[in-house]
Amino acid sequence: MLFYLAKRLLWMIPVLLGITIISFGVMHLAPGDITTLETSLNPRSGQEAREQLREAYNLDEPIPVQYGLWLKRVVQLDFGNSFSGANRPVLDKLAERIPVTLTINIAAMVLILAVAIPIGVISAVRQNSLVDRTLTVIVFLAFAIPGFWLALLLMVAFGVQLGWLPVSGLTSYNFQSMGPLEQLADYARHLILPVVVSAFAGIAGFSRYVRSSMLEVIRQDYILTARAKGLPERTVVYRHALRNALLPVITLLGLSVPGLIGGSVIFETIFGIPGMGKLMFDAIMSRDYPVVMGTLVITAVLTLLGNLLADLALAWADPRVRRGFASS
Amino acid sequence: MSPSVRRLLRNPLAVAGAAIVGVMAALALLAPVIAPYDPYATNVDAILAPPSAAHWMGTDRLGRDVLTRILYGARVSLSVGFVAVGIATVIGILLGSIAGFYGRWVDSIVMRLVDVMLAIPTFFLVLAVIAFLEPNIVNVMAVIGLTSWMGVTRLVRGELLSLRQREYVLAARALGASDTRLIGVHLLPNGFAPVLVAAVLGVAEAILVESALSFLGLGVQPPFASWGNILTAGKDHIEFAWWLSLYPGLAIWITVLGFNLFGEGLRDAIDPRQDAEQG
Repeated sequence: MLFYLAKRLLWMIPVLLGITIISFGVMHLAPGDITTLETSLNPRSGQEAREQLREAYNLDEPIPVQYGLWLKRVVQLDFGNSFSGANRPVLDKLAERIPVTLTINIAAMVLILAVAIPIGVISAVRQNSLVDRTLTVIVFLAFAIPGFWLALLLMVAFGVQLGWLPVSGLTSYNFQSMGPLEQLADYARHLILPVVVSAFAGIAGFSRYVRSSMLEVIRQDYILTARAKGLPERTVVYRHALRNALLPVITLLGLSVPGLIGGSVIFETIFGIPGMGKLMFDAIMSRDYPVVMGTLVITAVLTLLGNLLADLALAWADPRVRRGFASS
Repeated sequence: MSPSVRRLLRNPLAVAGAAIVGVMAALALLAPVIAPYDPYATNVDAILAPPSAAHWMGTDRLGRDVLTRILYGARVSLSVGFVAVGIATVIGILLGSIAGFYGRWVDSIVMRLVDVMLAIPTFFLVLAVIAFLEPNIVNVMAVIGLTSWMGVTRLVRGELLSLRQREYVLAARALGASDTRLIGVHLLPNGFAPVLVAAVLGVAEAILVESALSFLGLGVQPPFASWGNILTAGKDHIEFAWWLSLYPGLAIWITVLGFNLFGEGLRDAIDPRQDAEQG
């Protein structure tokens, strides 16, 4: 297991380097250089901002040198200072936003698994039945629904019309005067809509995946064996089939991290939640480049960590994976 | 009729998907002919008018006809979808071919590049790129295309990797076929079906990304109509002008559904293993 972990960590190094190269490259996509864009789009930020940018990114140096200098600071997690507000370090801004986004995404994942696994199992076990066909149609409908539109509809329905749930922000105006339990409940109420919306497409996708994974497993000989020796169907389905069918789901969970984090831009903007997505959106709108670059690199690193966790979980759950890596 | 086509036609969901795609494409192509109004014509006498006989889907805050703008929005969504997927598919086939055919270090480099691209949350990358460029339809197409080629690359690479040592390929090589010929004539056609499936599903994905970008104000800019930017206006008036939010959202939903149903149907028709054996 340790060997596997070491191997996996080493593999991350070239990928991390690649991420910094792409992030750096994005900055140089701007016609001319970023200072001309900054000033032509936002006339208020004149000479001063231009100088600040030149200095922050060593724009007077050749491009490889710029990259080297930038990388040197990035590996020390120094993304420079934000242009907006009190010119705070980008890392500080990110540090207070990351927990918010992670909480929503982890809650969304839990919700996805809790709903998608039963749907997938039922569909697979009763393949081609009326239940399976109905679930299939519902899943297709749910998968195609644009998340931001669903967010708007739910906001109107539960927030405006019914008035059951708050539609914006993380806390109520009287948050400070609440007791600790009330505060927790207040957070939870504010998180319901964002979590449901960001889990929605995932539920549909995962339930399809669980279904096909189950169908794959049910055909295996060991399932036939389990049935032949007279085990109850429940045991066959849940102990023998589902546990194996969920192995590829772990990998998919890891792969779905970038999608969830990416989606947070939309949901956090709509629901006014101060997470990384909102930070990114606001930074783009105000052309706060240090924040844009910092967020891009950090979200990619978080994604890599998510993948790493998924792979470790898979190696823990499936001895074949461990051995496969140890012997290669 | 080939068995795949027959299986496709027997699947009602796939046929429904194909029909939706066909109707949407026809509406988009014919928009200038069938749209009842000029998409940019404002009308001070019908500002935020609810749906009526004159305006089936109501009007927006400048009195423009929503149905007309949705029809024109279909042109934007579908062209972004097709062009972006076209870009992604070409890149994917090229990179996947060289990775799968040459293997070894070429393969390692391409696959590490895929890993890198998959690690960066696509929507963040798209947003960052748009932040450094002007948001307009051409840039949106290019950016979505350039950030969504990884799936096709993996598909093509896997296909070539598994086939390149087959006897028929070795025979062709022994007869003096060039690398390009081996890839283009003997290997790539085997990967056609899965790439087609990926492309159809990719269009759905690209339409969703474009509409989300336009909704955030970072995609297609007004006055040009896009489903996403009609929804942005809808959000501002959602409490008293529901038609501005309802119809463009439905348009996105139905179109994405159509491409997904069609794509999944194609997948099942091409690779019927699962459902055929059990069903």
